[in-house]
Amino acid sequence: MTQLAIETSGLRKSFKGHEALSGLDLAVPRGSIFGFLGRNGAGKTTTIRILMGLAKADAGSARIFGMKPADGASGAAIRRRIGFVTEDKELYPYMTVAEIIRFSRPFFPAWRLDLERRYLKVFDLPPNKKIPDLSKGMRSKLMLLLAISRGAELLVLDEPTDGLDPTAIEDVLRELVILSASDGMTIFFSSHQLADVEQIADHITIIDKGRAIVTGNLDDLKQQYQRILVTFADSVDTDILWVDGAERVRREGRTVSILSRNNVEAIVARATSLPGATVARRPVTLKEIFLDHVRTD
Amino acid sequence: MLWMKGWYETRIRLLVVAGATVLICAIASSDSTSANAGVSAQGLDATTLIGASVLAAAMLAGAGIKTQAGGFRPSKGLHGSMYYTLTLPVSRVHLLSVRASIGLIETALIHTLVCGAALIARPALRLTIPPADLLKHNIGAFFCVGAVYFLGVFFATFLDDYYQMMASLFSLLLLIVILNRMPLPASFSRLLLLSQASPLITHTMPWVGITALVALSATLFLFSMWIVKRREY
Repeated sequence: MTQLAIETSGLRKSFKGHEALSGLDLAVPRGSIFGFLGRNGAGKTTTIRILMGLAKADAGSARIFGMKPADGASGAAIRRRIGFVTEDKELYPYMTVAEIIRFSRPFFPAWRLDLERRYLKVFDLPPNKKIPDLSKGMRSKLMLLLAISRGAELLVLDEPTDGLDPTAIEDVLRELVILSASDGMTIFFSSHQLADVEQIADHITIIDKGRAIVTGNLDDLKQQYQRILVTFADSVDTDILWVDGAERVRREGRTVSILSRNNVEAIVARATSLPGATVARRPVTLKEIFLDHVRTD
Repeated sequence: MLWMKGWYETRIRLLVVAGATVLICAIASSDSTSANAGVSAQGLDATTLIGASVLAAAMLAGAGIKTQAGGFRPSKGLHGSMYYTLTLPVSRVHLLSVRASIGLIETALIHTLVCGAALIARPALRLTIPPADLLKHNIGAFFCVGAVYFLGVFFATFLDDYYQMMASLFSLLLLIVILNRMPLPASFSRLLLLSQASPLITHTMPWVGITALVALSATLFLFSMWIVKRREY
């Protein structure tokens, strides 16, 4: 049995000459909470559409639980094991909360009535309310309930906290952690909310222009990355600080900010050796790693 | 459950179509005296009410596997909810088959209503035409309506509702114009179930025409399935 819930290799997809994915490699371990990050248009939703069998890749491969996402019997078998929350959170406008739950239940033999009841209560969903009468936040919660109650082994969530108020975000994130810990559910979620990702994810991938630029265990990444701040008495040429391991070097006045991954000691030694330099180092947040990699300035 | 979903999505439309059909038939009925006077020996002109069935077929064929409003409540996420449908553990062919079956049954209901209404609107039909011939004619007419329905299903796989309806009706209009303007081979007349090959004239079941229409409908549906299986959403 493969240890990966999701695996893509060299995934490519173009739309009318625009390359949305340009060789994306992903490896999502089973049981992980995996944050999938990127700017708008970086290729996150395209990746999710391919994984869900809604679109086909031009090249490369995508596998879920070792199987190709496709239509037909094998595709249906995969979808039975996945819970999906779409970006726009749209559901059938002519149904009530109770009706869509009743509609969905028979498709999933492993439907969890206990989870259905629990999340109806936790998310405070009104069973008799029509779906168009729900706020976007409530629709997000309803979609989460429908995804979770399937008895899915994998949750694919596209912006799951979009439209939720801060209290609801906390509730949802807490429940996702509980599900991952108690049921061993793999949670793959894309989000713009870096704080949410940092709060619950144990693995991340940052994609930009259709390819992964940072990937790994979040704790490891936060240990590997450090911010080195070098302040000079006089102005200095930043080029001399491009030492192996320096991923981004940026000058802000007389201070040079270096985002380094590995080889930190060598960079510090080099900076310290420069005349009139004061060197400080500090840990980085996920937001800093993200911004330093995707910012184009 | 998919049948329930299909019913939810089409019930208002069916109601509207049924209402329109009753209205058309009522108008025709109010003019029955003059219509009766004009009924030809074969009573073919009375079958102009079949037009209501054709319109119904074009309307009920909408949506493909996309979600319909199913009511008068506007929703900007109408087609957004199709992602929920497509991620259910059901093949696209199954989704399309259920949706097409529901529409076809509803079209059959409307056609039956139209046929019944024709008898009420044009009482002379009951007097001048043998019931067996009328039944055969209506069965043949249903296969014509069915072909229009499957043309609508085909268009609905890649067009939104309103465009699908327009495309279906425009295609039909084009076909009628071509049939009226072009000299057709004599053997072709066996396919014209609503005119030359009608049981009202031939007094026999038009099997050749029915077979041709079933083949056409099946081909259109196979093309629809092929598109739905391959297209990206």
